[in-house]
Amino acid sequence: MSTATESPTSALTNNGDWKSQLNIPQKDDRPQTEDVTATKGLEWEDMQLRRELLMGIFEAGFEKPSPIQEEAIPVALTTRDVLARAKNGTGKTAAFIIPSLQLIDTAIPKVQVMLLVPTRELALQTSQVCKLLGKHLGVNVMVTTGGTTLKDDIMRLSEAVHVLVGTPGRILDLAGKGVADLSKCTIFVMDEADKLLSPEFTPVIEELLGFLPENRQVMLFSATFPMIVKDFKLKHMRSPYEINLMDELTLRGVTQYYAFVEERQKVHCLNTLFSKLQINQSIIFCNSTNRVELLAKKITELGYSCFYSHAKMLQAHRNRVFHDFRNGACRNLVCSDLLTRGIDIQAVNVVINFDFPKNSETYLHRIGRSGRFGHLGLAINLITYEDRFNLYRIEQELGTEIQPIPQTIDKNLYVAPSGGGSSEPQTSTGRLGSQALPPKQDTRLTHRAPQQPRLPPQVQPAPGTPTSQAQQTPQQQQQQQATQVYATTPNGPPRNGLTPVQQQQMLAAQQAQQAQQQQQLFALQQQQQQQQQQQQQQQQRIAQQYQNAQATAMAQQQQAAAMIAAARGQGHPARGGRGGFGRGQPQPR
Amino acid sequence: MAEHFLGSLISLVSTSDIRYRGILRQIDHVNSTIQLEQVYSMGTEHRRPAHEYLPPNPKPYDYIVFRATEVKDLNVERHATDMQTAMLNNDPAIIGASSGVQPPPPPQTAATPQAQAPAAPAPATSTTPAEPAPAPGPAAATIVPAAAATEPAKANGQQQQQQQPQQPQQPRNVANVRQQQTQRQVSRDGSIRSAEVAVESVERAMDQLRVSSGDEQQPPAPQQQPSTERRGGGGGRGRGRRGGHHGPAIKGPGVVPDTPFDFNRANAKFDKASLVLPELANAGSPEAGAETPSTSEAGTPAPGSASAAGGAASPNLSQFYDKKKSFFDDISSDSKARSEEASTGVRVGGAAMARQRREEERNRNLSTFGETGIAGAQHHWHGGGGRGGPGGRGRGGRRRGGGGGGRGASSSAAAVSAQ
Repeated sequence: MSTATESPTSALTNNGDWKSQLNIPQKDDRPQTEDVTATKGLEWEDMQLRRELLMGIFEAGFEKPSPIQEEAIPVALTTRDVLARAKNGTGKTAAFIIPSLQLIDTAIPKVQVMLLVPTRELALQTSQVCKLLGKHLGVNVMVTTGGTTLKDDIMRLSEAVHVLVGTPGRILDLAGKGVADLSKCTIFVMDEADKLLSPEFTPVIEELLGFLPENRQVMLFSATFPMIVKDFKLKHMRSPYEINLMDELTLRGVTQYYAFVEERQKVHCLNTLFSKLQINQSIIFCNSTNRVELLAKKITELGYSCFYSHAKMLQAHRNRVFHDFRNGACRNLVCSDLLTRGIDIQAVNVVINFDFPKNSETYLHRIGRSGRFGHLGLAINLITYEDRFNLYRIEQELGTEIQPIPQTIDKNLYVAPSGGGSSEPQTSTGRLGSQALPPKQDTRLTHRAPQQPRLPPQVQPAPGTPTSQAQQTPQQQQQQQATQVYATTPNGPPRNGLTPVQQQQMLAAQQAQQAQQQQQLFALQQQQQQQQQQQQQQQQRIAQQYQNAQATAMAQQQQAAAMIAAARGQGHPARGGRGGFGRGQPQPR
Repeated sequence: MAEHFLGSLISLVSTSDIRYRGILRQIDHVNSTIQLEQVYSMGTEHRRPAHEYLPPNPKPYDYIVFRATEVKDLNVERHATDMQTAMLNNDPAIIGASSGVQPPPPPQTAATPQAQAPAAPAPATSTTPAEPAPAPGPAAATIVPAAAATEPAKANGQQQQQQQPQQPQQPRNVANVRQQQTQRQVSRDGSIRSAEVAVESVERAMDQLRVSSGDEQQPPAPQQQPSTERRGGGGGRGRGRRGGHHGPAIKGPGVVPDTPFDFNRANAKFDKASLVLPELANAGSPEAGAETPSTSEAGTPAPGSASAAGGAASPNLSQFYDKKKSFFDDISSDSKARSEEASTGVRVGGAAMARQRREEERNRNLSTFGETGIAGAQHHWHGGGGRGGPGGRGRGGRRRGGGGGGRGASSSAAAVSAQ
């Protein structure tokens, strides 16, 4: 392609012209933490990228590079090996996709970039971002994972493919059969590298490397790098450039709580959490596939809707769940550790560990599903007596504090202010079946419109709720049937026997009360500010950031105004430019 | 309702990771104890690394009283009603014929009876810190040599751990057997459902005991508890309590009350700070603390962390991750746990281990959701024995196959989610 060879400087010369033509999505003005805002101030235009690539970047809604993007992209462009460590959801994916795309020569009809990820869902997500950013480059991206037929992959590979995204086993399969020609694949990226280098994967990876040319560039990205990665580094990387942006392991924006429960109280506890929290979307983790299904069933019986996903499900169903959940078709997703890593759904503001994880790595990645791209989120852990030492150990290892859950949780810790941005709920209800899920043609990334997949408050539906199939179009019915396998729809009467109106009223009253409590809390926080210790100060900082954003709403109150002034002094201005990731479209297969 | 389970063959794992198998005789709510009869110690099996392995003991103890707080896991292997056939022939008069009760199968590995074996792990239990010679039983509060008509305590080394005078036990034993008979009548009528509920309530009872002990972690409860007169009256009182216990219906597992969950109240039962202290103290002295409770509690992937925790007196962040020191971290992870298990020679994927995990999960599911979620199992709870052992073989095979196959066959996803 002629455009591919266009000089990067031309992108800068007539800057205004091309940029004004772009379909740039609405700015996300949710507050963000310094995990993503502490940059050196580099602009995308400073990186000498092709204009077509810049177009894709801006159209994806990335305003400015995040810290990891700032650090990694220039180095990666020199074709040097990279070992990069940055927190969950701070833009790692774009940090390796952008240089990879830049280095592709579309005139060569061969695989030049291989992006390896540990799970199929993550492969879909990564390929979406790749396609989105490379939209104007004429780059062909192919995703391949287990659980699909080889035949389709072979057909696809008979055409030109520049970027191969997938899980190691399948790619090795294709390479071993001689279907995928990797002789020109000079860029080899491992996302969630430590997972890919766990003992059971390492032989596959090493075998795969054997198919690559000698002059390959190897890049490893993750938020966790255990010692075992060192072996790989010594063996397969050439003086890699190390980037480590993690002063601490956990995200600043995610507040962690525990609730002490008996095993038999877990469902009760979860039910209460559902009614108390302002969940935009939640991911609920269980420790086994059986428990995922049992819990999904229970949640349904309680009158809430949820999707579930785990590794023993059919791949087509897994994909469908992932896609629909990402599009806001359902509020809650129950899953196993299948979706612990890398999954980027901006609308998730609450993660619940229904079963507490057994190790720090799992814990860290799980809670990193909320608080994407420096936003705020909540992680709630149900802790039984048996979990107590794990709780302690994880706190120690991660250097973090998991606090007892307070009776009321400050909304400012995890709910984005409703001002600014479109507060139009993307779906009118979280209940499946009450509305069809129109295929979204929107190519914007989810994070662009912050409140986009914002769902109305989660309420237990009354028995009479019109969710019956009789009221649906045949198309809807069909769709519902297609999703029935993994989605649970509420049935049975709500436990409290309230009418929807009563419930709404209760909810409104509750919210009003909570709002009042919040204000009192702010005042209290102000007083405590000087005395309190680091942990609490951090939370205050977050709360203040939010107040900053809520300025207009609270302006008439003098007290509030005073606090905002204080907050402005300290708070970090919300900055744009997120390294978000694509909204999934159903895969062609 | 837990009493429905009296007479059942149960298997319990102590916090020292020793498994005991025996017939549930009594659950003492006041003293937080569980009493088993005809108890075989199965040793640590695969729950501990090789160097801590304790072999099973082929000789049964007549009965053992366990401190409920130190019981980590409890499974019903065969329900009382299933055992009935074996029991029917038993005249209540022959209390002494303890071996007449359906004998548990002999321990898997033939091992020479070791006098010290069960006592060995005692120092490891955190709750009994400074007990020099007569260390309490492995997990057991009191290991009582059987008195009545049974053979005199055969349990070699155990004898020194005897905590009670022998006299009061004889009548108690008789009483117990009678109770058990009546209980059996009850449980005979019990439906499948009630069996599940009963499992739940055993669990529940234990949960409650645990919770209460969580408040006063330190004091080793057992020493005070078995005061003779209290125990002596135990039988009668127990029955009375039992009657009352049936009344206030325990809500079925998984049934959610209408009232909101009280987080403050629940959290008040758990003092995280006090939990940490003994752990820290242990970690401070690597000699004594090398095997801190975290290992036994945290289940399988723990051993690594314990050594990590034991390594430094003040566990601060830098020990696990310090950006200034190294790019790499040393936090616990799936692969770390696996490699450590491999290096200590413990077979992770062992069939026994897998079965045990399944059992554990099944019971946990029952507690959480009121059903096991394992195909077939909830419909044929009683069929457990018939399937050649608890755990449901068919299901087990499928699960294992799924996990293993997934990993090999490129399904990265399967490996990731395998937990």
